[in-house]
Amino acid sequence: MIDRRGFVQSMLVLGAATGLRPSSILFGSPPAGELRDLADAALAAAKAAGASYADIRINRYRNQFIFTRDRRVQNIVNTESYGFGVRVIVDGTWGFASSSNVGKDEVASVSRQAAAIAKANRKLNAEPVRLAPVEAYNTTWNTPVEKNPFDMPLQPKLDLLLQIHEEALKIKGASFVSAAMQFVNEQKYFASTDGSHIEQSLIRSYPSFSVTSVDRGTGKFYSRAALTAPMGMGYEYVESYPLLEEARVAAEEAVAMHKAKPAPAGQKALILHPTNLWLTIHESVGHSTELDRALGYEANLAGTSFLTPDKLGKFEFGAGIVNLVADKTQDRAMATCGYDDDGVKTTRWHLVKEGRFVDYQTTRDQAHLIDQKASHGCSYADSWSSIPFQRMPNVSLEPGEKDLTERDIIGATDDGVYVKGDASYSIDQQRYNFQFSGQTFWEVKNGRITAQLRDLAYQSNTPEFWKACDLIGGRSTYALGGAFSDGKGQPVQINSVSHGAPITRFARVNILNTGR
Amino acid sequence: MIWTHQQAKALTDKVLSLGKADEMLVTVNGSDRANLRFARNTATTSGASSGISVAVTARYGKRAGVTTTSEVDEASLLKAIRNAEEIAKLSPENPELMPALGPQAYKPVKAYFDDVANATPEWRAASAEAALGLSRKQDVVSAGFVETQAVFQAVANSKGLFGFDRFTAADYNLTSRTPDGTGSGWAAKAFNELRLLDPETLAASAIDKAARSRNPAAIEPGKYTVVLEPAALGDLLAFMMFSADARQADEGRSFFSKKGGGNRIGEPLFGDKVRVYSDPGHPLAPSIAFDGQGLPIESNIWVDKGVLKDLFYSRFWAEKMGRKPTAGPGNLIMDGGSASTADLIAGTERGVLVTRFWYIRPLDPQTLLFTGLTRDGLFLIEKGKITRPVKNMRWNESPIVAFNNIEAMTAAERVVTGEGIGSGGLALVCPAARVREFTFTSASDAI
Repeated sequence: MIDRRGFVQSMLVLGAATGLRPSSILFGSPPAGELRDLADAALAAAKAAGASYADIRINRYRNQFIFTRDRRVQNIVNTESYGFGVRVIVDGTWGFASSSNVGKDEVASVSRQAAAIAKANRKLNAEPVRLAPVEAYNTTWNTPVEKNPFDMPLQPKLDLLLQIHEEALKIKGASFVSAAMQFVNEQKYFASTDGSHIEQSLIRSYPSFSVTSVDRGTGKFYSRAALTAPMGMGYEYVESYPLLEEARVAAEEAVAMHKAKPAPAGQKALILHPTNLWLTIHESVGHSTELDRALGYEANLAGTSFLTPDKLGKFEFGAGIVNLVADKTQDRAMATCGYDDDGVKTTRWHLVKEGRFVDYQTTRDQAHLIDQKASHGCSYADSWSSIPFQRMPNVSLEPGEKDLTERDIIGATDDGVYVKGDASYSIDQQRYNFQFSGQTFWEVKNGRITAQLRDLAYQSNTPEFWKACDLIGGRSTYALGGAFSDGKGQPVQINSVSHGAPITRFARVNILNTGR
Repeated sequence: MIWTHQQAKALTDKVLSLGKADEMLVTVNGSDRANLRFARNTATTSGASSGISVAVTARYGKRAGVTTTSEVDEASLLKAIRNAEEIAKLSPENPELMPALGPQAYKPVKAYFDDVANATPEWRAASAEAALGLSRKQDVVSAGFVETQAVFQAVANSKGLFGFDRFTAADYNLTSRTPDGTGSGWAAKAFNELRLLDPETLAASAIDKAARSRNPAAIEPGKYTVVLEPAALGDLLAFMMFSADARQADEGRSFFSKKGGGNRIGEPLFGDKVRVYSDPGHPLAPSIAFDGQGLPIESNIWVDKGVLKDLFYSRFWAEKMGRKPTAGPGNLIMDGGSASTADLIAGTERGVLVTRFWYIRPLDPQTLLFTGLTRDGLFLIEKGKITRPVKNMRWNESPIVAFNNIEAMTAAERVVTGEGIGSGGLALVCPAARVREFTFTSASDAI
């Protein structure tokens, strides 16, 4: 059993003996003054080099991956990355530089490098950067967790993963199992020429598994992945989720797929469980309301958006019962933090209110582009070595006022399909045409689930889809799903983001049978 | 941070000397990367990053633990080593763990070029200005990206294995859109060598496509003959090869599984003109000489005359099945033919010319069915001539079907796909091809 306290103590002794200080002391326990000294050196060098604004992030990232398959522990990896990145604005132009060599001389020299990069690009820059105002904060914020996964001993994690295998493989016809846990801790220190010093420690946890059933006779195989979501929670999530029960159900459903009814093709009522709908929200709402996309800043990779600024406040995005909210303060959600990477305090706001498109996601340098006075606090960089830019906050569908249950919604459906879990996903570069599948599919006829289906996908167009929303479940059906690694930008950066939704029905959606 | 052979060896020697486990493995990766983004005809962000990462694997028999760190002072290295050893001691045995390799003979090729390693912010700015100047003149709005990077990799273990290699990559890609929002064009290239990158030509190509794709008309879903430009064919090639794992096939859960057991190596799965291989020394796509365990990356043939020749074998699965393990690969090459793109178009009675694909995801692993979209220039071909631009389409198709339906190909060229495959880590070389009966399933309003 790893005794972390003892481990850290022994490292401090080693550090003192060699005269080198392990940087793990810089976070949490004093002296936070070390970080301040480095920040002051960086910001002073940036100003001396001509910067009108500068910020520095000195961050440490820890990841733990445990991967198991077919009753074996295959990989246990602990990663750690520590470094700093400096952003500057010189003559209205951004510049950025970073290094893994954290020291006073290096922070100063890298700050000068960032300024030189800004100056080299000045001639090309037709749009001087304008930052929305921000207050100065001197504070800390940590993801409220009950159990820090990095403090938890290894053995119980391994035991639980291997138990998942045993549970699943008890089911006749279950052939292969893989199970994993991933934990992330971002330790961030932000300082800016606006006078902020902000320390944050963010934690995310994700247990997952997949069961595959192979029929050697027919040559067919089907898989069913866990319906877990990555969460902005500690190890308490792993302990509280009914993983073993779900492993059994997943195995049964994978095996049952061989005999399931092929999906019907045509227009049907579509009921989506939050374990599927989260991804549809992510792709069709989360991405379409990114202001930088809408203005053409991401045209070269991620694309643009059909939600152009002329539609703001006017466009009917969805049915009147649809309310879609952005929220970087939401409990247990992965994009939740105290302050974004511009130093802006996080908040909650509507993107779509009663069906109408009302706002975007923004950062300090974007707010003025739509005549807003303040940033919505969506700036994020995935590493000390990457540039902060606008990333998706948690975006969720509000539950209905009436507490409609799963039974109520199925009971009200004469001819439909019900989809749980996420699988295939694809959407076009302006966020119109999309096609999704799922983990399990169920036929709904005359108010009841009548059969398990297979080989199903649904295809629609974003505004048509959201206008077809006709029944929204209540709070008791609401759950968070999320993406651990949403990609955007060049070079590509990842972002972790959660999406909450109740069980929801869409009146008529195109259903495909993908079997060939 | 780019280190020399000596600097890397000094670090790996130190880690191995500090390690106490039965077997130690250490890899060191470092890079210097710099980039410039532009959009709305202006520079947006730009940055440089210099980093190093050390991964330490400690093993006691069949128990292993891995830690990584970006700090290379002795105290930090010691912390990472002890941590890996602790994890290894706590780990259950993994019977699939392969013993560390002994010293290997590597055949490094020239994959590192000084003109990329020494590229300046001024060069990057000038290369962006090449696109921006032309865009303003032609009244289009461009967004793009230029990146230059130098990377080194070293691997060493307690059995005396040591390898050191480096590569460079220069990427240039852009999207040009007409002000009325109805036209969009795209071009992308990557090379190990800066002098091969031609920003002016790439910019002209994207801008030309933008102009020619204005006001597209809709076409009906259905099966079409498609002329796939290399970037589009490259995506089908890459996605197919990502699914070509031997163990998965032997376990019965892959398209490459044989009904009743085993895999489909030896079967003619593709049209007989299809040849796919890897060669670290390919002049257009030179790549590094070894993988993270120190296994040499060698030339290998995956498909020849349409017959599946090999799949990807891990060391464990290769030993179990009596096959050669396959490392990497660092590149994928598909041989082409002797037609020109004009020939491919001229030979099309009715079809569409595809610039690139977008948002490809697996739909059914059983049949290797994928879904995706077209983007940045889709043009109707009628009686051998491009007649008009058409609206983008979603497709549901299998690369296996596409590779069986190839009618003609151009010569192969270095490619970066619409999904961004083909720079840095895995280089791609493939031709353009005319493919019949490609399935478009629904229309997209997206430009």
